[in-house]
Amino acid sequence: MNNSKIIDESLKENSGYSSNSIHAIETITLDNNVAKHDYDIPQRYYRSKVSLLPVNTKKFYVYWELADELLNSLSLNTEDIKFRIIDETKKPLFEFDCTYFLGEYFINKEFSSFTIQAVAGYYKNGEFITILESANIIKVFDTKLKYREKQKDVWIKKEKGFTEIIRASMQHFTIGMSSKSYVEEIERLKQYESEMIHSFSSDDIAKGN
Amino acid sequence: MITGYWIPVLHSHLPFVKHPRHDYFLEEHWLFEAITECYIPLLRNMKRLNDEGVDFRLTTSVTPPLAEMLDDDNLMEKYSKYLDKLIDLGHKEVERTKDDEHFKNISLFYRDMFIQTKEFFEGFLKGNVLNGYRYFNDMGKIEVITCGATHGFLPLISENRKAVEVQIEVAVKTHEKHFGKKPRGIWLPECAFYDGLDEILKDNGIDFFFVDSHALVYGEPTASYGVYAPTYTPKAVAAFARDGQSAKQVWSSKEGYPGDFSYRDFYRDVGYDLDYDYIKDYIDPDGTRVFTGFKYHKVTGDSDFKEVYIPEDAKHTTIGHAKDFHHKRVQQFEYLNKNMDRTPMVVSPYDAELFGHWWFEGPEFLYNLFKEIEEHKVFKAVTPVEYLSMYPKNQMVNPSPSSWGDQGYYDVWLNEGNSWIYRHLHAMADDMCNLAQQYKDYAGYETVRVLNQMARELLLAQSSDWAFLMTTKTAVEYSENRTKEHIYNFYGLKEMLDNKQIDTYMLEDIEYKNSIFDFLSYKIFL
Repeated sequence: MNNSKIIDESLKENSGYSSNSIHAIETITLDNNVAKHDYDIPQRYYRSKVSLLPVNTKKFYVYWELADELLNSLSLNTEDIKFRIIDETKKPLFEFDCTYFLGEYFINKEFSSFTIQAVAGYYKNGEFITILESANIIKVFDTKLKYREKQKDVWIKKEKGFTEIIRASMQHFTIGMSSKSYVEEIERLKQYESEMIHSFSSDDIAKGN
Repeated sequence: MITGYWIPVLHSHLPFVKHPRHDYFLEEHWLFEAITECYIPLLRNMKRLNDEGVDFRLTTSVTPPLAEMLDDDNLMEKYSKYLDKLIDLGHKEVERTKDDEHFKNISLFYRDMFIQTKEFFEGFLKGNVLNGYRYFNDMGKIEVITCGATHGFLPLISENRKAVEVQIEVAVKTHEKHFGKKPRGIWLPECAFYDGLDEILKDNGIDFFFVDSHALVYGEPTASYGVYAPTYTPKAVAAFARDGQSAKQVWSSKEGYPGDFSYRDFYRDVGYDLDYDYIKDYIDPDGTRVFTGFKYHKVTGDSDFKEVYIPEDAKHTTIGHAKDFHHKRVQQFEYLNKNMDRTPMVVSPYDAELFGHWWFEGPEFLYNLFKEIEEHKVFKAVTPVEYLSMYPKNQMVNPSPSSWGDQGYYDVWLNEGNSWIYRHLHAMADDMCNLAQQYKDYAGYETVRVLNQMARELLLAQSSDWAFLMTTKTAVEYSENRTKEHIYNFYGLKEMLDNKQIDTYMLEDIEYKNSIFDFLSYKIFL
C-alpha cells in the first residue's frame, strides 16, 4: 500500500467547494426583500467573562465583558486589565490590553502549542494575577501529517452489540456486550470482509482482498 | 468486478420559516421553491428509478427544521395553493406565447411540469413531502440522516457543552418524530467537527457522521487510507470524509457540470422579465419582483446574451455528464486500487438544493448516473450503514477540527462581520441552563410555556445560516434581523419570568410563529 499517494489523492481538490462556490441557501435567499424590524437586544450582560474561539490555523477570536462588581472588588480599572493567551502549562503566548469593559479582539497569530486558553488578569509587583479564564480550552487546528508506524495503529471493530479495539501489537480489549474474547488477526478480518462483500450482493463479484 | 463503493450524500436543509398569519410571506416562498425544484424532482426520479427496477442508494439528511416544515399542515396547505398559482401562470404563459416560435414550447414545458408536480404531490406524496422520504427510507433505498436541531455551528457554541448536547438530542427526537426511528447518522452542520464532539454523538446513538477531507488527513494519526475508507473516533463513531475530486465536478461554478451552456440559466425569470401589470399577481403582493420558476433561457455563455432553453437538449447533456462522472470514478477507483490493500470508497456530499434549484437538471443527472452504475456494475452505490456492515473494522483516528467551509475551518461563521452574535448565543445558553435548574422541580403552566419557548428561541438563534448569510452578504439585513429577533424574544420572555408577569398575548404570538419542536421541554437543558 502506498500511503503518500493515497494522502496526496485525498487532498486533491480539497478547497472547500461549499461556501466559497455556490451554496444553496445563498441562491434561495436571493429574493431577500423581507419585512424589516428593529429588535432591541441586550448591549451587555453584566457578568464578567472572557471567551476564546478558534477561527482558522492563524486566527483566533477573543471577546470579554468586565462587570463593575469584579473590578470594584479588586479596586481595578479597565486600564489595568491585560488579556493573555496561554498554553497547557500556563505559559503566556500572547498578550494584549484594551481599556473597554466590553470588547472583542481578533488575534492573527499561529500558535505551536497543542491547546490554548484565554485569561484576563493584571500585574501586581511584576506578577500576573489571573482573574478570569475562558471556559473553552481550544485545540489548535493542525495541518501536519502524523503517520504512525503500522505496529502502533489502533483499529476498532464494531458490530451489533460489541465494539472491539484491536491494537496492531495484538493487545486488545472489548467493550459493550460482547462475549467474544478472541483476538482476530488482520488477515482473518480481510477474509471475513471479503465474505461479507459476497453475501452483500450475490450478483456482484467483489474484489478479493 | 466491483472496484469501489460510492457513497452519494445530499444535505437537505432550509432554516425554519413560518408565518401562519399571512397568506404570502417571502421566506415561505423559499421553502416552496425548494420543494418544487429540488425535493419533488429528486423524489420523482427516485420513483422513476424504482419503477424501472434500477437499484440505487442515496444518503440524505433531512434537517430537523426542514422536517418540521415539510410536515406542517399549514405550510403544506399553502404549498398546494402556491402550486395552483404556478399552474395558473402556466396556462396564462401558454396563451401568451402560443404564436411565439421561440417560447411556446418552453412555456408548455413549465405548465406541464407544474401540473405533474401537483399530481405527484397530491398523489404519491399524499400532500406531504416527507411521505416520499419515508417511503424510500423504509425500502432501504435511501438512508435519511439527521443534522443539528437548527443547524447550529457546533464548535462555536461548544463553550457550553449542554448547548451542543441539546442540538444533537433535539435532532434525534425530531428524526424519531418524523421517521419513526432513531437516525443512524448525522450530517454535522457545515461538516464542522471539534475535539470531543464524538462523545456527544455516541451518547445519542449516532453511528456515523461526515467531515471534510483534511479532518482525517490531519487527524491523530493521519488516516492510512486517507478519505477512501471511514475511520472510527476514539468513541467508536465512524467518520466518513469527503472526496474533493467528485465534489469539484458538481460544486465548481467554473468547471462543474451545472455551468454547461445548454443547461437552464438560474437568474433569468419571468418574475423579473415580464411587464409588471402582467406578472403582478404572481409576485410578492407588495409589488416586489421574485423568482416564479418560469425560467426560459439557457446558460448560453459568459455574456448577458441568453438563448432560449431547450429542455430536451439539456436532458441529453445530463446523460453525457452522468457518463463522464461515472468514467472519472472508474478511473479514480482504478488508481486507488493500485495503491490500497482494501476496496476503496468515495464519499460525494452536496447540498441537496443544488440539485434542481441551482442546477435545474441535477435530479435528471442523478437518475442517469444510477442507470449508468447499474449498467456497468464497476462500482456500487452504498449507504454508510451498508459500508460499515461490510467493513466493521476501521482504523481509529481522532479527526482534526475542521469544517467544509471556505479554507476548511471556521472563518465563514466567525469573522469581523458576524462575531457579535456569539456573545449573545453563549449568554443565552448559560441563562437557559440556569433557568432549567431554577425551575427543575416546579413551574406553573404558563411558566413552562415561557421556558419551552425560550428554548426554541435559543435553538433558532443558533442556526449557522444567519452567520453564513452575513458573510456572503446575500441577505445580511434579513439574517441579522433573524438573529436579533430570536435574541429579543428570548430576553423578552426571560423578562416576563424575572418580573413574574407573563404577557400571554406576546407569548402566544411567539409560540404561534416559532412553533418548531412541539415536543420540546426546557428540562432538556438540565
